[in-house]
Amino acid sequence: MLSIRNLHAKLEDEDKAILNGVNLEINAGEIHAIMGPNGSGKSTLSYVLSGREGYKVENGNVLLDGQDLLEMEPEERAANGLFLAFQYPVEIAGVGNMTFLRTALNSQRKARGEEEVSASDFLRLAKEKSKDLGISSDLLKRPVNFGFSGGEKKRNEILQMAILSPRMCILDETDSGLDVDALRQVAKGVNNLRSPDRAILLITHYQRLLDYILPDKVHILVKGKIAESGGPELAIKVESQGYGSNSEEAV
Amino acid sequence: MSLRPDVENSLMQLMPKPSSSSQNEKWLIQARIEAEKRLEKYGLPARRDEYWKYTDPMEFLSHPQKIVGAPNSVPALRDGSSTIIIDNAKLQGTEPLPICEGIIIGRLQDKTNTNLLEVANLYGKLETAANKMIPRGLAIANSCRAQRGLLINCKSGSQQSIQILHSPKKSDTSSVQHHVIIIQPGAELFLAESGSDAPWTNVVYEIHVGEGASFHLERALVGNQESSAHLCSVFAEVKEGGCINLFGLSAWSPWVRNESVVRLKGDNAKANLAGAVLGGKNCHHDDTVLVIHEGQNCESRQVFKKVLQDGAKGVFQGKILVRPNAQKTDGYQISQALLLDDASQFLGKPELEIYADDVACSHGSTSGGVDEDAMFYLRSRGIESRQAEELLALAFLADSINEVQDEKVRKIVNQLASKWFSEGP
Repeated sequence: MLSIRNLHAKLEDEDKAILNGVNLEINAGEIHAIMGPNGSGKSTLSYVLSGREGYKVENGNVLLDGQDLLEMEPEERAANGLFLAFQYPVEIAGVGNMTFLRTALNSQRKARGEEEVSASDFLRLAKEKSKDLGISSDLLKRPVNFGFSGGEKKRNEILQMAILSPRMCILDETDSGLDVDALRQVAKGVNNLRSPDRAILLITHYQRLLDYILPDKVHILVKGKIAESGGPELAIKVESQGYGSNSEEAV
Repeated sequence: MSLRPDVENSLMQLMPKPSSSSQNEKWLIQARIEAEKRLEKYGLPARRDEYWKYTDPMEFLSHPQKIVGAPNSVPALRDGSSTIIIDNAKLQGTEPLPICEGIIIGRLQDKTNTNLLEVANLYGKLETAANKMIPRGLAIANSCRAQRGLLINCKSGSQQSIQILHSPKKSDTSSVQHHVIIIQPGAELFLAESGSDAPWTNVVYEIHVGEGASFHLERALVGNQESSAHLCSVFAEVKEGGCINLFGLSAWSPWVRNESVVRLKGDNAKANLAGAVLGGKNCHHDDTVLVIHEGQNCESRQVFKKVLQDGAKGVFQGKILVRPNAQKTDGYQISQALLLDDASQFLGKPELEIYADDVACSHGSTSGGVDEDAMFYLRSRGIESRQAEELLALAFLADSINEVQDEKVRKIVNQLASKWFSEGP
């Protein structure tokens, strides 16, 4: 589903390369986890994939279902099924969560040539999804992430993911700043979304999240490159030994 | 000071002198003579006046007066069985005004009802008082030459709602209106004004809010896309425990200046002034506000927000003046512009002038572009960039629109703002 080949990227206004040839193949139905130390390029990878401005791709390509992802605008990537759960979800005062999500869903549907969802149907969908996830539907009545606690923000990302129903989900350090109950709830949300035609890429510092979401594959990103790939046992190894040996190998 | 011949000519065209026909009441003839004297004394404003620093008054006087293309339609902000609707025909005098309990409404051009003489005698009074601080020649010219307008006496203890609906005919190239309103003690009057401007408009409101009375003025006027110039001067005085709420939405209007002078005369009075502007295509939108605190323990708020693009220019000049006796004043002022491109600009001049020592006053003014992080967040969820910009701009305007108390009015104003985005500025 997602194919990243030899991806090199840097910040537009700095000369320092951040991604130095990332290669990754993720198939439908799979959950992959990318782990790595601070500054290894994990968040940059998620931003480059979702189309954030300020990054320059210098080499390589990314295909989503065979289509050139890097050529698309961020909204086109979303309409084509890509979703990024932000590490730091943005607070938008004055825009209601409900209005935002309905606009997003209908924009995506419109771009795909599908019929728009009516206000009442959307309300039903939003309530159903928040109930499934055990998230209070009060979140929907408030402005987007505005005044939300850290946990509420992350729950809101998962709720958006459930409503928009993307095929390729990238979760950027969704576990950071969560207490154990919130972590369980978020993990439950992600596990609910597990399906044969959907792929999930988890970006995380710690193995902790992987206790709740079992990945098919784990990759270690060091200095902008995948230094090692393996099964869930790789995460356990990192947890006990740290990134030390990989950091040295990648030098 | 005598007027320059070219200015006099253009003024004559836009605001012809009323004929001294017998249908005009003596009080009005006298008020106009006095206004002529003031006009002679103060003259019309010029660009060199500090008060007109950012807006050229000659642009107003020389604005082309023609309707190009169909004006935008604006629904009534207030309706329902208890609302008195005053449409163009009623304003112009071709149809009779409604007669309602608790309120007397008359027209400037008609024989004055004896119950309205108290109102009529106040014609030009607040405009005159305001000139003592800063001469306002265009409002004086309005007092001299207005031939249309409403005289309203809202009786003690009554609650009333009026909707003025404008829909100018093609032949109406200019419109000069002068309204005088008294809200008697304990009464509450909601006055909404909506519709399309005549291509050239000069409106004056003189509002007297009595003890414990409330007045709400909501204006949503849209200009003709290609050409229109609109000047509105509101002069208000609020007595003890009284309250005034003024709100204006301007969209699709190439040239607008809204001036407000609110004097909180009695103790415990309140004033709430807000404005939302959507300016595109080289528009010029100016809000010039003066709130004078004279009574003790009074509160005032000014919340002005402008969304500007395509070379639009937004101006805000706002002052809170606190007189020596106005202790315990609570004054607040915020003016902000969201610039959607580099060609647009915002010129702000927030001022505090405080002569009392036990007051809380604050002001802030900002301008900037859309928040890039928020834009990316919305786009990453599939929202196309213009729509994301619209969501953020409407959220930005919400602070001023939310100053309007009535939910239904807020909804209509929001819909108009949304239409500005979807149909183009």
